[in-house]
Amino acid sequence: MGDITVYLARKVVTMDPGRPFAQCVAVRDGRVLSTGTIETMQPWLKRYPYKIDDTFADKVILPGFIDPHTHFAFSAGYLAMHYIGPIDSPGPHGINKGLPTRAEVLAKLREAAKTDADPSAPLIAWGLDPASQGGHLHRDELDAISLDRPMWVISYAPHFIYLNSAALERAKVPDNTNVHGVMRYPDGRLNGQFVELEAGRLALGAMREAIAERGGVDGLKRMGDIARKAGVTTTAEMIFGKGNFENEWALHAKVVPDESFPLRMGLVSLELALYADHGSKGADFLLDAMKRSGDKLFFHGVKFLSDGSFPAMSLRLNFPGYLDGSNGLRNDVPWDELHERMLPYWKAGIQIHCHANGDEAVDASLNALAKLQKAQPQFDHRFTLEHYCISTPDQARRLKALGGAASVNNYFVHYRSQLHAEEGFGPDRSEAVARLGSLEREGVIFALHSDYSLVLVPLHPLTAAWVAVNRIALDGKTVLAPGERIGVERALRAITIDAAYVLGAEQRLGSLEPGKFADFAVLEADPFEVDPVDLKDINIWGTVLGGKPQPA
Amino acid sequence: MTAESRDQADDVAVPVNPTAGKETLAMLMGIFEAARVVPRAVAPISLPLTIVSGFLGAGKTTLVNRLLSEPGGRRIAVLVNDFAAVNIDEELIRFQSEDTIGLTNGCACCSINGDLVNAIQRLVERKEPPDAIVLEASGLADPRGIAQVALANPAIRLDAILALVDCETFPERIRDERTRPTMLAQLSAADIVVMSKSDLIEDRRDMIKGLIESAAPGRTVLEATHGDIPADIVLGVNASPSSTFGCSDTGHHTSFASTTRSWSTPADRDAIMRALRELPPNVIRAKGIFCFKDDEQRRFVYQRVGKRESLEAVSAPSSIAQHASRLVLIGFSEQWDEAEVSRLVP
Repeated sequence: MGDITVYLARKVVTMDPGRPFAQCVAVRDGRVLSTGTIETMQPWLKRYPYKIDDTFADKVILPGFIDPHTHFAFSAGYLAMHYIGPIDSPGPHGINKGLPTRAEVLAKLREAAKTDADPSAPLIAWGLDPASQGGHLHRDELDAISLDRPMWVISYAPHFIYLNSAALERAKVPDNTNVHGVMRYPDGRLNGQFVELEAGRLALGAMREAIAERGGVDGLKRMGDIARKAGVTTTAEMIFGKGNFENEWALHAKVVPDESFPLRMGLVSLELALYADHGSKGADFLLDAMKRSGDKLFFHGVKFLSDGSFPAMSLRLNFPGYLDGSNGLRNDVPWDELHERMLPYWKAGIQIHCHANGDEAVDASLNALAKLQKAQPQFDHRFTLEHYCISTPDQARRLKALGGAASVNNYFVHYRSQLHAEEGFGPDRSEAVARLGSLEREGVIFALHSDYSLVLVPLHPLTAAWVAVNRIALDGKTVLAPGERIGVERALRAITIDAAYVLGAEQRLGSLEPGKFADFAVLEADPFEVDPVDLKDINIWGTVLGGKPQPA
Repeated sequence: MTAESRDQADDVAVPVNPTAGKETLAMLMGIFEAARVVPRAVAPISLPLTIVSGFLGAGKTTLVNRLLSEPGGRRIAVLVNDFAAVNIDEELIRFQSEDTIGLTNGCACCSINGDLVNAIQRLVERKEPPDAIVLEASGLADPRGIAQVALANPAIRLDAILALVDCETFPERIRDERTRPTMLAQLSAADIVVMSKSDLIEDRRDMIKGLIESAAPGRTVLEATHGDIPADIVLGVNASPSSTFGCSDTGHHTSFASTTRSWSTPADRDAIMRALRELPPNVIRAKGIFCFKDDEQRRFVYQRVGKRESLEAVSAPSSIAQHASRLVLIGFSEQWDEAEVSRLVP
């Protein structure tokens, strides 16, 4: 065994309710050896060599934060993509609303240009129908929307591509190019229009490169940095194996276990993909794949989906449905077959995570769980409802009765509730998004997650905790469904030990107890001492992973 | 280079085809997948890709089967969506795996299995990549989207897009509102339109040609029965050493003529390019590998198919001797004017 390092702190918050606070934490071989004071640790320190590290002497150490539902490896292109077509059209995030007029197209492009904080991030819009939406776009018009962010706009049928100056620069089209279909203004300057194949290849080739730079190894690392700055030491990819299981494994296996990568990551495999590749043998395959797991990168559980998205307004609602009388999308597995597809995993003891955003989908998912319980009753199965955006108090009670857990995207309370009161879900449901108070009252264990970066909320667990405790709307003053607020301790549990529980990793992660990985979030202030409305503004020094400091 | 390319794109008056959006989305997904899968470094090879499109039942599979059994000395890799439909003579099959049928003549038939990007990348990464790739597009697809996904791999060079039309059903389908958008997309994307089953429509030949001309003006139109088109018309040139290069039309439909030119010393780029642009319209294909005086270190592949031409530098070693150049011209035998061709390209 190696030497002991004792990290002194202003305060250590262990998230072990029995011994909640300490002055220092001792680490050995990447794990927690002891928490307490230098005096209480003496039985260890007088027996073994140790050193004192006072880097965090004026800081607050918490267990590293856990965001149990993210998508780090999703194509950067996928995330950069916006629909601007004239008619409603299904997309990866649900039904995209049609934009009949040019003004709406330009407004959507302007909005999209503002969404990503990184000004060099590419913007890809598709679906423009020049015939019905006021003609072709061109370079100067796109430059007026954004000069810095490279923009690619693709027509509804793949014949025309429009680039702004930043994208033209990426495409490295020489001014004197003679490639057919590269269009010009009357004065000979490139006008950003690329027509048909040869020219399209130039434009799309540059787009592919721009996306590639943000995906793969570099993209994963970039996401890792974002998470580290937010105090996160563990996350879980909640749609693993969507494209190609082995390719995605190779990417993660290259990046995550490397010492330079600041996070542990769970991989939750998409059942739909396992089913496509292995049919009824998906569970066997997954059990076998789990043998590849290590300390930093591990397989965990299986993912099902039951409806669409909250922000894209494609989740499924019970009566009275959406304001406009419509309803969202069910997912690919028919609801009455959901339990049959889940059963092999249930029997194999593989934890099931089921995406359910709307209350109708929550019902469907709970029905599936009830059928699993009937087929083969189990305790401690941890069937987890993912997102749990629109629900009722009785659904929380039923979730408890069936022994399930929840992983909730509660960022929407702040970022989108008021929006969807007017558009989509109506006032009652929008106000009561993410009923954490109900879950707590019923005794359901729950975690908070960001779904980063599939939805436009930050990856920042202290912000999730802030939303959970305050439920302050985007207007900065309205408190939404105050009875669904929870206390600071419960909120911190939901981003540490209870999030570890939802990932089946509470014996290794989530609190600072002997034997657990020495993963810390290092804060500049104590979340129990600050005014709860300032929770999200606590500065984060960085993290410690397996005993190794990683400054933000 | 020309006045037309100084223009802005014309506004299109074509109504929105509801399925087009789905294809564009699929194209974007394919390019995103390519961004993930295709290595950043430029591949040192340049594989010619021919896309065979055409509505359901137009004879794509027949053409593909024919190519596989008579590849003209090339190692062709055919990418198909429906493995089961390809009917290969069992004696020709050397091995068969889940996604590939290998033939004794060096060709292979590979399943796309919903993932074109990876299917192409697997071919590119082969120890001995094929001389040419033929992609059988889904009958309902706009080949442009598919082409862009394939071209997202820098090792792929688009050689030609063929659109097959079933002469028997074409007049009806081009008028039917449900099928017209797909037919138009396929015809307008095509370099060469192949009228298949033309033996069945003797009296309506000109009417069908007229319909094709009005749907997609200026395309090279060929007639074929039972996929009987020389491989040299379907396929482009590959600069790799194993590739044969020429046109063997023996045993084929006699309606095609070809001629070959070679040069043993570096050629004059401007003179050659000027001559090639003046070739009469009955030249269906022109393809050559050139060593030019102004750039003797590199080799250039020239392709002309229908109205589209390209000249690209290739890094692969040439199959022909140093400083040598070679050109093949293929055209309709009926209108072939050897004297005119010789005058242009002596």
